[in-house]
Amino acid sequence: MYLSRLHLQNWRSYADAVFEFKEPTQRKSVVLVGAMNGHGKTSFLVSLYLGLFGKFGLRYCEGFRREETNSGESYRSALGKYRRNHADPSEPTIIDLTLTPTHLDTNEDDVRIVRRWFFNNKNEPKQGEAFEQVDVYVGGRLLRTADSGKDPLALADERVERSLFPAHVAPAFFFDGEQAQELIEKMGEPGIKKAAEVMFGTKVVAEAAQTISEYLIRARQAAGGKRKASERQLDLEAKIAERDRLNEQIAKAQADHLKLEHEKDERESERNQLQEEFVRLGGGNLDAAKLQADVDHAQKSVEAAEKSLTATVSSLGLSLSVTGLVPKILNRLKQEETLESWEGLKKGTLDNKEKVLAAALPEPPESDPLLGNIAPDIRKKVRERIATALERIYNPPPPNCAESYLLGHVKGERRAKVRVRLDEVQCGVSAKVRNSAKQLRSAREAVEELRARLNRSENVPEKTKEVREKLDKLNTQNQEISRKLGSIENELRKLKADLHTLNVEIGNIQDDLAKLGPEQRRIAVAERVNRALEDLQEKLKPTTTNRLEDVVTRHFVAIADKRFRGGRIHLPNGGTPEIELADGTRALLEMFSGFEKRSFAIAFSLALAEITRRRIPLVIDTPLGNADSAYRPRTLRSLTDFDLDQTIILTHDKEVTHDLVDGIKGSILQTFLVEYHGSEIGSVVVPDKYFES
Amino acid sequence: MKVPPCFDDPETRKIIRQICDEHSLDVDLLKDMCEIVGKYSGSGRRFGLDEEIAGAVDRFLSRSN
Repeated sequence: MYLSRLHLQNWRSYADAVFEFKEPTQRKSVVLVGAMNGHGKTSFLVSLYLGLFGKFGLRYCEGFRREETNSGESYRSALGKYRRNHADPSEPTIIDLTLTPTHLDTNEDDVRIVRRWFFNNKNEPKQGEAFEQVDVYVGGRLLRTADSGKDPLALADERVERSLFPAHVAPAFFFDGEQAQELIEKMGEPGIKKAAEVMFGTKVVAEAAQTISEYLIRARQAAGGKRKASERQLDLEAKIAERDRLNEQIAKAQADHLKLEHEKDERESERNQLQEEFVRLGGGNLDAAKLQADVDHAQKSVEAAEKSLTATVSSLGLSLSVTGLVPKILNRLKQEETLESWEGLKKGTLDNKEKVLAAALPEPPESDPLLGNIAPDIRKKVRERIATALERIYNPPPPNCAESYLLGHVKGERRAKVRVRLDEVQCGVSAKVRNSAKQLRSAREAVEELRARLNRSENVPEKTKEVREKLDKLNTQNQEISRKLGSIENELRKLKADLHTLNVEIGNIQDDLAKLGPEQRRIAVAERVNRALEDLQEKLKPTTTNRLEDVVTRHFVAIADKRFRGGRIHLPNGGTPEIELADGTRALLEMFSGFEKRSFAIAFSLALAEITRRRIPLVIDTPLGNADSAYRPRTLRSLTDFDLDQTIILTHDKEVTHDLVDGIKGSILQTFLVEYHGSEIGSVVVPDKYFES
Repeated sequence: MKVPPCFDDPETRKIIRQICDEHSLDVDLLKDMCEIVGKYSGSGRRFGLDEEIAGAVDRFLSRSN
């Protein structure tokens, strides 16, 4: 669908001007509208909001906040400001626009909306119904609004939304680059996200569930009132009534949950502001509540380390009691081992004494060729001397040899095992005690350091203390809200489980009833349809968000600086968009530079168009703004490469310059130049013209 | 009135099919319901709505038989 015609009369700087847009082709879909500052770019953009959506569109116009646009008076006053200063009082202000389907839009018709606002002879907005009139033509046929019993303006707006797109979506497709910040802020509200749901079809699903539910009430009544109903029917109605009550409870719990979530967000945002103020005031990282929590935590670590040390000592009580004796026992065992070894050697020698003597003095003497002839008494003395000499080999005992056995029951291999075990006990006790003591020392040091920081935080100036107290209070409130949220979530889980059980029971009764007749069979099917649509709503919501995040990320990364590559955009519920960078750190998008925010807005629009496959024209006022030389061609390329029916770029001479135009020449379908010729003539639209090079 | 885009999207189509299986319905019936509701949405008109819903259910019942 493309904007084929826009006629502005008595509209800001336009006295009477018409833009006739050519039908775009697949290759050429970009329209450049050049205008110097104050010549009519923003007036063009605003005319789309107000021309399409009237009073509802005002909330998206620069300078008009939502709360200011609720009253008819502020709407009239706004239109008074948008009216051309030199307008003839007898002439209305008119916005007349037509959107035309392209060959890619099937089964769709031209939609023309003509909105007129009337003024009195003082050029002040007329009061009441005389102020505004709107005509909606679909396929050239004027839609009647007078005989429906509804407010004709409201009905016309509904028809515009049905025939084109919901008003919520408008800021995502028609926006001022300078207002990208506002678009991002609005993302924090459910507005744009709801718009995505509308376009993705989830709103229709919700509406269908509601309609089927109403149909069921009527169908049940038609099938027979309570008087005629069988016992089973009465049972069914009782269950349905119970389910209605349960649904009310669920709705109330969900509303409470939402309210609390908003409250929490507000407190969180207040807390962040206070924390920033606290840092600015010199509180640094001295977040008192956090520090106190850290001290408490560290104190617990000290207590745990003390307990661990005590447990180590008591579990090693026996070991410890012998540890002092271990060296003495080890020494004694070693001495007794030496004694045992000495005694063994000595015994071995003495056991062989007779063999040694027999070798030294063979018997009988006649067989001894060396000493056989000595006198027998001399021979006896020599024998005694050799025997004594042999005994003296192992006398005295070696040094460190025990004199006797105190631990004589532990000998040989057993003694060696006892020595090894004693060594292990000695080493193990030391290591465990050493580790526990080390942990205790570290924990005590940490407590001391944190206490010192806490003391420092208590000595900050009065103003800082006040901020800190407020922060503490907010933290407490947030904890309380989180507790309540948790409690509601539990309640919701339980209610939903009860609802599920009840639905199964109702389904069973309906299956029984369905056997009774065609009406009951229809009711049974419609009940199932109703439940299926409710399930579908629940399941489509996260899918819609995920898809939107995926596609926004892809477009944003394509346009933005390379430092965002590998990142991911998150659209948290009730929060402003965030980007998670490749290294896992997260940053709020509203903290980024103006042009990065603008890139996000463009990426968001492209993503919305992509996932919903709605072929809505994209109209951007000053898309490049103060972008640097790398961003400029990338952004323009993203806009021109994307498969949109029509992209209208409103720009001034220093923005989309001739160099940049050359880069996208192949995609440009048409150009306009808007020139302001003074207050009498106003802005004049010159087709097929652009700024002089 | 076009079918909501979630019925054309490959990912959400799977979810819809799964839900239809769970409730012993078919995707066409849900599509029909969304189309009917979309047709009457915003018009403030209810005349004929119940008949269209009943008609969609009857078509489903004859498909199922």
